[in-house]
Amino acid sequence: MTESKKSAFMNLYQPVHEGFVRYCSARTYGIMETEDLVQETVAIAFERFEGLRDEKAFLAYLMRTANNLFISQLRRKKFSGVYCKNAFEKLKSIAPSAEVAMDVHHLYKAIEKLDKKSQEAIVLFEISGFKIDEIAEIQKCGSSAVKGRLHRARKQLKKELLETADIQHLLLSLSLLYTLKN
Amino acid sequence: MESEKHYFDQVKKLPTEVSLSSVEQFVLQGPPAPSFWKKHFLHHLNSIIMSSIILISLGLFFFLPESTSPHQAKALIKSEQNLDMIEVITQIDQQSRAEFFEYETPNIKTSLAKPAHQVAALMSLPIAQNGPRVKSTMNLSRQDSADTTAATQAQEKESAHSSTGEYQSFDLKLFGDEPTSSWNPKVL
Repeated sequence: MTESKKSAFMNLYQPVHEGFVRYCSARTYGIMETEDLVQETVAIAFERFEGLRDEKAFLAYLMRTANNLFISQLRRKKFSGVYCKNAFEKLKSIAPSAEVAMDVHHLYKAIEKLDKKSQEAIVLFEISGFKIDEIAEIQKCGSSAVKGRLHRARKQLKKELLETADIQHLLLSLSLLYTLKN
Repeated sequence: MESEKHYFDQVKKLPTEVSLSSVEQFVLQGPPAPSFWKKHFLHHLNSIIMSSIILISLGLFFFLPESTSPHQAKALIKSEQNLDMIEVITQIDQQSRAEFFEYETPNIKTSLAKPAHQVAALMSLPIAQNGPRVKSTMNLSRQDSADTTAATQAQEKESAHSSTGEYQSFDLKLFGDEPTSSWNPKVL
Protein backbone atom coordinates (compact mmCIF):
# COMPACT_ATOMS: atom_id res chain seq x y z
CA MET A 1 0.00 0.00 0.00
CA THR A 2 1.78 3.10 -1.20
CA GLU A 3 1.02 6.67 -0.28
CA SER A 4 0.20 7.50 -3.89
CA LYS A 5 -2.48 4.82 -3.94
CA LYS A 6 -4.02 6.18 -0.76
CA SER A 7 -4.05 9.76 -2.01
CA ALA A 8 -5.46 8.71 -5.41
CA PHE A 9 -8.21 6.76 -3.72
CA MET A 10 -9.11 9.62 -1.41
CA ASN A 11 -9.13 12.10 -4.30
CA LEU A 12 -11.73 10.03 -6.06
CA TYR A 13 -13.70 9.18 -2.93
CA GLN A 14 -13.96 12.66 -1.39
CA PRO A 15 -16.45 14.17 -3.92
CA VAL A 16 -18.82 11.21 -3.66
CA HIS A 17 -18.55 10.65 0.09
CA GLU A 18 -21.71 12.45 1.19
CA GLY A 19 -23.91 11.01 -1.52
CA PHE A 20 -22.48 7.55 -0.93
CA VAL A 21 -23.09 7.67 2.83
CA ARG A 22 -26.64 8.97 2.35
CA TYR A 23 -27.30 6.18 -0.12
CA CYS A 24 -25.98 3.65 2.40
CA SER A 25 -28.12 5.16 5.17
CA ALA A 26 -31.26 4.93 3.06
CA ARG A 27 -30.58 1.35 1.95
CA THR A 28 -29.47 -0.08 5.26
CA TYR A 29 -32.24 1.39 7.38
CA GLY A 30 -33.51 -1.33 9.70
CA ILE A 31 -31.23 -3.97 8.18
CA MET A 32 -27.65 -3.22 9.20
CA GLU A 33 -25.41 -0.44 10.48
CA THR A 34 -24.59 2.23 7.89
CA GLU A 35 -21.08 2.53 9.24
CA ASP A 36 -20.44 -1.19 8.69
CA LEU A 37 -21.54 -1.04 5.07
CA VAL A 38 -19.51 2.11 4.40
CA GLN A 39 -16.38 0.70 5.98
CA GLU A 40 -16.65 -2.68 4.31
CA THR A 41 -17.26 -1.08 0.93
CA VAL A 42 -14.38 1.32 1.31
CA ALA A 43 -12.07 -1.47 2.45
CA ILE A 44 -12.92 -3.65 -0.55
CA ALA A 45 -12.78 -0.75 -3.00
CA PHE A 46 -9.41 0.34 -1.67
CA GLU A 47 -8.01 -3.20 -1.75
CA ARG A 48 -8.98 -3.63 -5.41
CA PHE A 49 -8.33 -0.05 -6.38
CA GLU A 50 -5.34 -0.96 -8.53
CA GLY A 51 -7.59 -3.06 -10.75
CA LEU A 52 -9.78 -0.06 -11.60
CA ARG A 53 -9.05 0.88 -15.22
CA ASP A 54 -11.16 3.97 -15.63
CA GLU A 55 -11.40 6.58 -12.90
CA LYS A 56 -14.84 7.63 -14.18
CA ALA A 57 -16.16 4.23 -13.24
CA PHE A 58 -15.16 4.70 -9.60
CA LEU A 59 -18.62 5.76 -8.42
CA ALA A 60 -20.34 2.89 -10.23
CA TYR A 61 -17.74 0.49 -8.84
CA LEU A 62 -18.27 1.80 -5.30
CA MET A 63 -22.05 1.56 -5.56
CA ARG A 64 -21.94 -1.93 -7.03
CA THR A 65 -19.68 -3.10 -4.22
CA ALA A 66 -22.01 -1.58 -1.64
CA ASN A 67 -25.03 -3.17 -3.32
CA ASN A 68 -23.42 -6.59 -3.37
CA LEU A 69 -22.50 -6.34 0.29
CA PHE A 70 -25.96 -5.12 1.14
CA ILE A 71 -27.63 -7.97 -0.76
CA SER A 72 -25.45 -10.56 0.96
CA GLN A 73 -26.35 -9.00 4.29
CA LEU A 74 -30.01 -9.02 3.33
CA ARG A 75 -29.84 -12.77 2.75
CA ARG A 76 -28.46 -13.28 6.23
CA LYS A 77 -30.94 -10.84 7.75
CA LYS A 78 -32.70 -12.05 10.86
CA PHE A 79 -34.84 -10.37 13.49
CA SER A 80 -35.27 -7.31 11.29
CA GLY A 81 -38.27 -6.15 13.34
CA VAL A 82 -36.13 -5.78 16.46
CA TYR A 83 -33.39 -3.99 14.59
CA CYS A 84 -35.91 -1.66 12.90
CA LYS A 85 -36.94 -0.37 16.31
CA ASN A 86 -33.29 0.23 17.18
CA ALA A 87 -32.79 1.93 13.82
CA PHE A 88 -35.59 4.36 14.54
CA GLU A 89 -34.10 5.14 17.94
CA LYS A 90 -30.79 5.87 16.26
CA LEU A 91 -32.49 8.02 13.65
CA LYS A 92 -34.20 10.02 16.39
CA SER A 93 -30.86 10.59 18.08
CA ILE A 94 -29.23 12.08 14.97
CA ALA A 95 -32.26 13.94 13.59
CA PRO A 96 -32.71 17.63 14.49
CA SER A 97 -36.27 16.92 15.68
CA ALA A 98 -38.63 14.00 16.28
CA GLU A 99 -40.81 15.18 13.38
CA VAL A 100 -37.92 14.96 10.95
CA ALA A 101 -37.04 11.51 12.25
CA MET A 102 -40.64 10.36 11.80
CA ASP A 103 -40.81 11.72 8.25
CA VAL A 104 -37.52 10.09 7.31
CA HIS A 105 -38.70 6.82 8.83
CA HIS A 106 -41.88 6.89 6.74
CA LEU A 107 -39.92 7.75 3.62
CA TYR A 108 -37.48 4.89 4.12
CA LYS A 109 -40.34 2.48 4.75
CA ALA A 110 -42.10 3.68 1.58
CA ILE A 111 -38.91 3.28 -0.44
CA GLU A 112 -38.60 -0.31 0.80
CA LYS A 113 -41.84 -1.14 -0.98
CA LEU A 114 -40.47 -0.15 -4.41
CA ASP A 115 -38.74 -2.56 -6.76
CA LYS A 116 -34.95 -2.80 -6.45
CA LYS A 117 -33.97 -0.73 -9.48
CA SER A 118 -36.46 2.01 -8.67
CA GLN A 119 -35.26 2.06 -5.06
CA GLU A 120 -31.71 2.52 -6.21
CA ALA A 121 -32.60 5.19 -8.76
CA ILE A 122 -34.74 7.31 -6.44
CA VAL A 123 -32.26 7.15 -3.57
CA LEU A 124 -29.31 8.03 -5.80
CA PHE A 125 -31.18 10.89 -7.45
CA GLU A 126 -33.25 12.42 -4.65
CA ILE A 127 -31.26 11.62 -1.52
CA SER A 128 -27.66 11.24 -2.70
CA GLY A 129 -27.97 13.96 -5.35
CA PHE A 130 -26.28 12.18 -8.26
CA LYS A 131 -27.04 13.06 -11.86
CA ILE A 132 -29.13 10.93 -14.16
CA ASP A 133 -26.09 10.09 -16.31
CA GLU A 134 -24.19 8.88 -13.27
CA ILE A 135 -27.15 6.77 -12.17
CA ALA A 136 -27.41 5.35 -15.70
CA GLU A 137 -23.76 4.32 -15.48
CA ILE A 138 -24.25 2.77 -12.07
CA GLN A 139 -27.32 0.87 -13.22
CA LYS A 140 -25.80 0.05 -16.60
CA CYS A 141 -28.76 1.34 -18.55
CA GLY A 142 -29.81 4.39 -20.56
CA SER A 143 -30.87 7.75 -19.17
CA SER A 144 -34.44 7.25 -20.33
CA ALA A 145 -34.69 4.03 -18.33
CA VAL A 146 -33.53 5.91 -15.26
CA LYS A 147 -36.05 8.67 -15.88
CA GLY A 148 -38.82 6.12 -16.25
CA ARG A 149 -37.84 4.45 -12.99
CA LEU A 150 -37.71 7.79 -11.22
CA HIS A 151 -41.15 8.71 -12.50
CA ARG A 152 -42.71 5.43 -11.42
CA ALA A 153 -40.95 5.58 -8.07
CA ARG A 154 -42.16 9.12 -7.36
CA LYS A 155 -45.71 8.17 -8.26
CA GLN A 156 -45.71 5.17 -5.98
CA LEU A 157 -44.00 7.04 -3.16
CA LYS A 158 -46.55 9.81 -3.35
CA LYS A 159 -49.35 7.30 -3.00
CA GLU A 160 -47.68 5.48 -0.11
CA LEU A 161 -46.77 8.65 1.75
CA LEU A 162 -50.23 10.13 1.34
CA GLU A 163 -51.73 7.00 2.86
CA THR A 164 -49.27 7.23 5.72
CA ALA A 165 -50.04 10.91 6.19
CA ASP A 166 -53.77 10.18 6.22
CA ILE A 167 -53.29 7.51 8.88
CA GLN A 168 -51.13 9.91 10.87
CA HIS A 169 -53.76 12.63 10.65
CA LEU A 170 -56.45 10.21 11.67
CA LEU A 171 -54.47 9.04 14.66
CA LEU A 172 -53.72 12.63 15.64
CA SER A 173 -57.41 13.56 15.43
CA LEU A 174 -58.37 10.56 17.52
CA SER A 175 -55.82 11.39 20.19
CA LEU A 176 -57.04 15.02 20.28
CA LEU A 177 -60.64 13.88 20.63
CA TYR A 178 -59.69 11.54 23.43
CA THR A 179 -57.84 14.35 25.23
CA LEU A 180 -60.77 16.74 24.88
CA LYS A 181 -63.23 14.13 26.10
CA ASN A 182 -61.22 13.49 29.23
CA MET B 1 -50.86 17.20 2.64
CA GLU B 2 -47.12 17.03 2.06
CA SER B 3 -45.75 15.79 -1.23
CA GLU B 4 -42.83 13.42 -1.52
CA LYS B 5 -40.56 16.45 -2.00
CA HIS B 6 -41.12 17.39 1.61
CA TYR B 7 -39.90 14.00 2.77
CA PHE B 8 -36.79 14.20 0.61
CA ASP B 9 -36.05 17.63 2.04
CA GLN B 10 -36.36 16.21 5.53
CA VAL B 11 -33.82 13.49 4.70
CA LYS B 12 -31.35 16.12 3.52
CA LYS B 13 -31.57 17.79 6.93
CA LEU B 14 -30.02 14.74 8.52
CA PRO B 15 -26.27 14.77 9.06
CA THR B 16 -24.24 12.00 7.42
CA GLU B 17 -23.76 9.02 9.71
CA VAL B 18 -20.13 8.48 8.71
CA SER B 19 -17.77 11.43 8.47
CA LEU B 20 -15.18 11.83 5.75
CA SER B 21 -12.40 12.10 8.33
CA SER B 22 -13.25 8.68 9.77
CA VAL B 23 -13.15 7.11 6.30
CA GLU B 24 -9.88 8.86 5.58
CA GLN B 25 -8.42 7.58 8.80
CA PHE B 26 -9.67 4.09 8.02
CA VAL B 27 -8.05 4.17 4.59
CA LEU B 28 -4.78 5.69 5.77
CA GLN B 29 -4.30 3.50 8.81
CA GLY B 30 -5.95 0.38 7.48
CA PRO B 31 -8.43 -1.76 9.39
CA PRO B 32 -7.93 -1.96 13.17
CA ALA B 33 -5.52 -4.67 14.28
CA PRO B 34 -7.01 -7.60 16.19
CA SER B 35 -6.59 -7.60 19.94
CA PHE B 36 -3.92 -9.63 21.73
CA TRP B 37 -6.31 -12.41 22.78
CA LYS B 38 -7.89 -12.63 19.37
CA LYS B 39 -4.52 -12.75 17.70
CA HIS B 40 -2.64 -15.11 20.01
CA PHE B 41 -5.25 -17.13 21.86
CA LEU B 42 -8.43 -17.45 19.84
CA HIS B 43 -6.53 -18.04 16.63
CA HIS B 44 -4.95 -21.19 18.12
CA LEU B 45 -7.97 -22.24 20.16
CA ASN B 46 -8.46 -25.50 18.29
CA SER B 47 -4.89 -26.67 18.75
CA ILE B 48 -4.96 -25.64 22.43
CA ILE B 49 -8.10 -27.71 23.06
CA MET B 50 -6.72 -30.74 21.20
CA SER B 51 -3.35 -30.68 22.99
CA SER B 52 -5.00 -30.31 26.41
CA ILE B 53 -7.27 -33.30 25.68
CA ILE B 54 -4.23 -35.39 24.66
CA LEU B 55 -2.29 -34.36 27.79
CA ILE B 56 -5.20 -35.15 30.09
CA SER B 57 -5.75 -38.56 28.50
CA LEU B 58 -2.02 -39.39 28.76
CA GLY B 59 -2.00 -38.34 32.40
CA LEU B 60 -4.99 -40.51 33.14
CA PHE B 61 -3.40 -43.44 31.33
CA PHE B 62 -0.09 -43.28 33.21
CA PHE B 63 -0.99 -42.01 36.67
CA LEU B 64 -4.50 -43.18 37.42
CA PRO B 65 -3.77 -46.96 37.65
CA GLU B 66 -0.88 -46.35 40.08
CA SER B 67 -2.87 -44.11 42.32
CA THR B 68 -5.69 -46.65 42.69
CA SER B 69 -3.66 -49.86 42.52
CA PRO B 70 -4.18 -51.11 46.15
CA HIS B 71 -7.93 -50.82 45.91
CA GLN B 72 -7.98 -52.32 42.48
CA ALA B 73 -5.78 -55.21 43.54
CA LYS B 74 -8.09 -56.01 46.44
CA ALA B 75 -11.10 -55.85 44.23
CA LEU B 76 -9.41 -58.06 41.65
CA ILE B 77 -8.46 -60.71 44.21
CA LYS B 78 -11.96 -60.73 45.55
CA SER B 79 -13.50 -61.00 42.12
CA GLU B 80 -11.13 -63.82 41.19
CA GLN B 81 -12.15 -65.71 44.28
CA ASN B 82 -15.77 -65.17 43.47
CA LEU B 83 -15.17 -66.36 39.93
CA ASP B 84 -13.50 -69.52 41.24
CA MET B 85 -16.46 -70.23 43.44
CA ILE B 86 -18.88 -69.69 40.60
CA GLU B 87 -16.87 -71.98 38.35
CA VAL B 88 -16.79 -74.74 40.90
CA ILE B 89 -20.44 -74.44 41.76
CA THR B 90 -21.39 -74.53 38.07
CA GLN B 91 -19.40 -77.68 37.50
CA ILE B 92 -20.87 -79.28 40.57
CA ASP B 93 -24.31 -78.43 39.33
CA GLN B 94 -23.54 -80.12 36.03
CA GLN B 95 -22.36 -83.18 37.84
CA SER B 96 -25.34 -83.31 40.13
CA ARG B 97 -27.62 -83.67 37.13
CA ALA B 98 -26.28 -87.12 36.65
CA GLU B 99 -27.90 -89.28 39.26
CA PHE B 100 -24.85 -91.31 39.96
CA PHE B 101 -21.34 -91.59 38.76
CA GLU B 102 -18.34 -93.54 39.69
CA TYR B 103 -14.78 -92.56 39.54
CA GLU B 104 -11.99 -95.01 39.61
CA THR B 105 -8.59 -94.26 40.91
CA PRO B 106 -5.77 -96.83 40.73
CA ASN B 107 -6.63 -98.26 44.07
CA ILE B 108 -9.79 -96.52 45.13
CA LYS B 109 -13.30 -97.07 43.94
CA THR B 110 -15.41 -94.32 45.28
CA SER B 111 -18.94 -93.29 44.59
CA LEU B 112 -19.99 -89.71 44.66
CA ALA B 113 -23.68 -89.22 44.72
CA LYS B 114 -24.05 -86.21 46.97
CA PRO B 115 -23.07 -82.82 45.57
CA ALA B 116 -23.58 -81.21 48.96
CA HIS B 117 -20.57 -83.13 50.21
CA GLN B 118 -18.50 -81.92 47.33
CA VAL B 119 -19.39 -78.32 47.97
CA ALA B 120 -18.58 -78.67 51.62
CA ALA B 121 -15.27 -80.27 50.76
CA LEU B 122 -14.39 -77.53 48.31
CA MET B 123 -15.32 -74.81 50.72
CA SER B 124 -12.89 -76.21 53.24
CA LEU B 125 -9.99 -76.03 50.78
CA PRO B 126 -7.17 -73.57 51.51
CA ILE B 127 -7.30 -70.50 49.27
CA ALA B 128 -4.29 -69.98 47.04
CA GLN B 129 -2.85 -66.47 46.77
CA ASN B 130 -2.43 -66.47 43.01
CA GLY B 131 -4.53 -68.31 40.53
CA PRO B 132 -7.57 -70.53 40.98
CA ARG B 133 -7.83 -72.29 44.29
CA VAL B 134 -8.98 -75.71 43.23
CA LYS B 135 -6.57 -75.98 40.36
CA SER B 136 -3.54 -75.23 42.52
CA THR B 137 -4.51 -77.87 45.06
CA MET B 138 -5.06 -80.33 42.28
CA ASN B 139 -1.60 -79.68 40.88
CA LEU B 140 -0.06 -80.22 44.25
CA SER B 141 -1.90 -83.49 44.71
CA ARG B 142 -0.84 -84.60 41.26
CA GLN B 143 2.80 -83.88 41.96
CA ASP B 144 2.62 -85.70 45.23
CA SER B 145 1.06 -88.69 43.63
CA ALA B 146 3.59 -88.76 40.84
CA ASP B 147 6.59 -88.52 43.12
CA THR B 148 5.63 -90.67 46.00
CA THR B 149 3.31 -93.33 44.75
CA ALA B 150 3.50 -95.58 47.75
CA ALA B 151 2.78 -92.88 50.23
CA THR B 152 -0.08 -91.62 48.17
CA GLN B 153 -1.59 -95.03 47.77
CA ALA B 154 -1.53 -95.55 51.50
CA GLN B 155 -3.06 -92.17 52.07
CA GLU B 156 -5.74 -92.78 49.54
CA LYS B 157 -6.55 -96.11 51.09
CA GLU B 158 -7.02 -94.38 54.38
CA SER B 159 -9.08 -91.66 52.94
CA ALA B 160 -11.26 -93.84 50.77
CA HIS B 161 -14.01 -93.96 53.39
CA SER B 162 -13.57 -90.45 54.71
CA SER B 163 -14.93 -87.19 53.41
CA THR B 164 -11.46 -85.96 52.46
CA GLY B 165 -11.02 -88.99 50.27
CA GLU B 166 -14.20 -88.19 48.52
CA TYR B 167 -13.01 -84.71 47.92
CA GLN B 168 -9.69 -85.81 46.42
CA SER B 169 -11.31 -88.21 44.05
CA PHE B 170 -13.76 -85.50 43.05
CA ASP B 171 -10.95 -83.04 42.61
CA LEU B 172 -9.25 -85.22 40.09
CA LYS B 173 -12.42 -85.87 38.20
CA LEU B 174 -13.40 -82.26 38.25
CA PHE B 175 -10.56 -81.08 36.06
CA GLY B 176 -10.38 -84.16 33.88
CA ASP B 177 -6.86 -85.16 34.78
CA GLU B 178 -5.55 -88.02 32.84
CA PRO B 179 -4.16 -90.73 35.07
CA THR B 180 -0.41 -90.84 35.19
CA SER B 181 1.54 -94.03 34.56
CA SER B 182 1.46 -94.92 38.19
CA TRP B 183 -2.34 -94.54 38.17
CA ASN B 184 -3.01 -97.00 35.46
CA PRO B 185 -6.40 -98.57 36.16
CA LYS B 186 -5.31 -101.76 34.45
CA VAL B 187 -3.06 -102.46 37.40
CA LEU B 188 -6.18 -103.05 39.41
